[in-house]
Amino acid sequence: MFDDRSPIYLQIAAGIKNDVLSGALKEDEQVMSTNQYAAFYRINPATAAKGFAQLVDEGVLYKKRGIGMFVSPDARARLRAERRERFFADVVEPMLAEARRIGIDLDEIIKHLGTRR
Amino acid sequence: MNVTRTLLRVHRKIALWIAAIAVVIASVGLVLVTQAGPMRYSFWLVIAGSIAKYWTLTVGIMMISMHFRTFVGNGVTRREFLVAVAGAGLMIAAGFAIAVTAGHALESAVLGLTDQRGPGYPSVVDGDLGRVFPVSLGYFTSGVLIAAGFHRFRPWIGVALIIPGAVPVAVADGLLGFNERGEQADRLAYLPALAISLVVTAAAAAAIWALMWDVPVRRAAG
Amino acid sequence: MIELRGVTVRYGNAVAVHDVTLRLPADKIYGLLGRNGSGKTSLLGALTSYRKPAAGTVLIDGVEAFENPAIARRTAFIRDTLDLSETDRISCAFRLAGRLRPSWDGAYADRLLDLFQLDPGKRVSALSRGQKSALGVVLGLAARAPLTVLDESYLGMDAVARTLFYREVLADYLAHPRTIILSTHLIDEVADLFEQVVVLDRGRVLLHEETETLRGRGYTVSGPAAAVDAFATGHAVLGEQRLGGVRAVTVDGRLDPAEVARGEAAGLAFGPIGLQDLFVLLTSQPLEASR
Repeated sequence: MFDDRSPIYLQIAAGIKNDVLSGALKEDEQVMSTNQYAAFYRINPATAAKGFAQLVDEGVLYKKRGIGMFVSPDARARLRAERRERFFADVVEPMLAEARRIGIDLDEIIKHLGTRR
Repeated sequence: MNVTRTLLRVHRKIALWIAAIAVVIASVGLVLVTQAGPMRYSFWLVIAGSIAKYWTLTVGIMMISMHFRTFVGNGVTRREFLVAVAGAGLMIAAGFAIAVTAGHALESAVLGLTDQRGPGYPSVVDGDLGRVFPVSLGYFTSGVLIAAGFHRFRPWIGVALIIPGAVPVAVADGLLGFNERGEQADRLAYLPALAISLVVTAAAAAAIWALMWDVPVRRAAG
Repeated sequence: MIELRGVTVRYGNAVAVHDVTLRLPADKIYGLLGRNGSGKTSLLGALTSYRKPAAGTVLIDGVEAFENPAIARRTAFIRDTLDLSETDRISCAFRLAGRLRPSWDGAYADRLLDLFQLDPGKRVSALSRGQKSALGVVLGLAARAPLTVLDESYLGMDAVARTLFYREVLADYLAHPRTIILSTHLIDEVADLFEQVVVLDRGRVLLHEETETLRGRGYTVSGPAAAVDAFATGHAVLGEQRLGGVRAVTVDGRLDPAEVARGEAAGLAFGPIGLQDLFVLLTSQPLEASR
């Protein structure tokens, strides 16, 4: 279920962020408890807790004492903004580098993008 | 959670079986032997006397070779276990003292009623109770001590320690033992003999403690 | 809190565990990793008071553990050779546990017997290796001891039974939190269960970390031999492979994005390594290198 070569808590955090972005997790919705997460994915609950703590730090989740973890009301907007910032650096630049490597020039790319409009 | 009681309970089933078999053999034996005339010795002393020694010796050995591991494996400390073994030994020896004496008394009564008590038949007063107890205890302690030697040391050292380990038996049986005709060693008067035997047994118990109180718990074979 | 202070275990002149100091906070699942002969069993024996250390002390919640009845009652140590009477039936072994262990859960033990398809009427001597392993696991879990240690006892089970075991350990840990220590050399299967990992190498603690911290440690660098060599200087190299003009090294450390960018520009390829591979490399270093 998880890639064993990078920290699982980061993968958990990434998974939850994707769910928030896609709408599978709505704002102010409660997420599974660490125990439920642990039992479901068969991991140590401390790992799940670490992932949640990371998301609380990033403002994606917040904790209601005695009840559980909830998605922050502005989580979706935040994550989108974050991803937008990094879109060009993380997605577009590598794409352009690969294009250069295999000899596709900028005009070809622009032409292709034009057909998708 | 009484460790002594649990320790004794482990042997309860077998003990009952042995008791039942002993009674049957003794009864049948009596009937058969009296065909040839009145009894000149106690059949019960033959059977029960042997059991009081040799089965008790075996139980003593099993305490260390079998039960030590399983009890420690269930959260009992070495010291708790050793104390429980001592308690069990005392109770087993006392139990045999009573059983041998009671059986002998019963046999004597039955023979008396059927007029089959012959000359030389040992009277019950010849010291069953006061002798079976230290002798049985001696066999138990030797069993535990010899097994402790094997548990603590390498096998060849264990073998070498069999002789000193058998001292409680030698002393107890040598000074206080008696046979089915009630004949005793009579090397010493009863009280000094009892004192020496108990002191030797206590010394053996101290040796057991010294061997076992911090011993690594050996794994089972294979 | 379990504390080992300067624990040394010796067998005659051979030192199996050398001056080990560890602090293990309670109620976590720990993995004790190490090759065969690294001293895992000896360390666990000292930790559970099955063996008095030649030097050092073991403290549990600040109290010396050796021959402490309260601590002994709360400890379960399942070894690969089960501490049972061969002639006993499983039900008999359970009865004894019920009488001696205050925390023993007989109903749970019966459920586990079902799960692992064991017959309570069978004698221990009649069990196969896999069944004995399963029995060990049942005894360890049903004891519900606040300190539960399983020493590779489950490695005799087949892969399916092991999977059931890992699931059951996690499920019962979630329901009844306690300190669980599993020693193993099959890391990949079970690493997800461990909150922290202790790696033993030749009697010493090589590392003691959160599993998550260990993931992502170590990476491979491959490419033209010259470029790889240039990169490798200044890094701790754990292992290497050559194939013609191509060289691949495994480096101990974490990837630095700037380094990666530079490296890729020079024609190098970077890749992650899994825990098993990291473990193999860390514990096969020559003796001097690991000090």
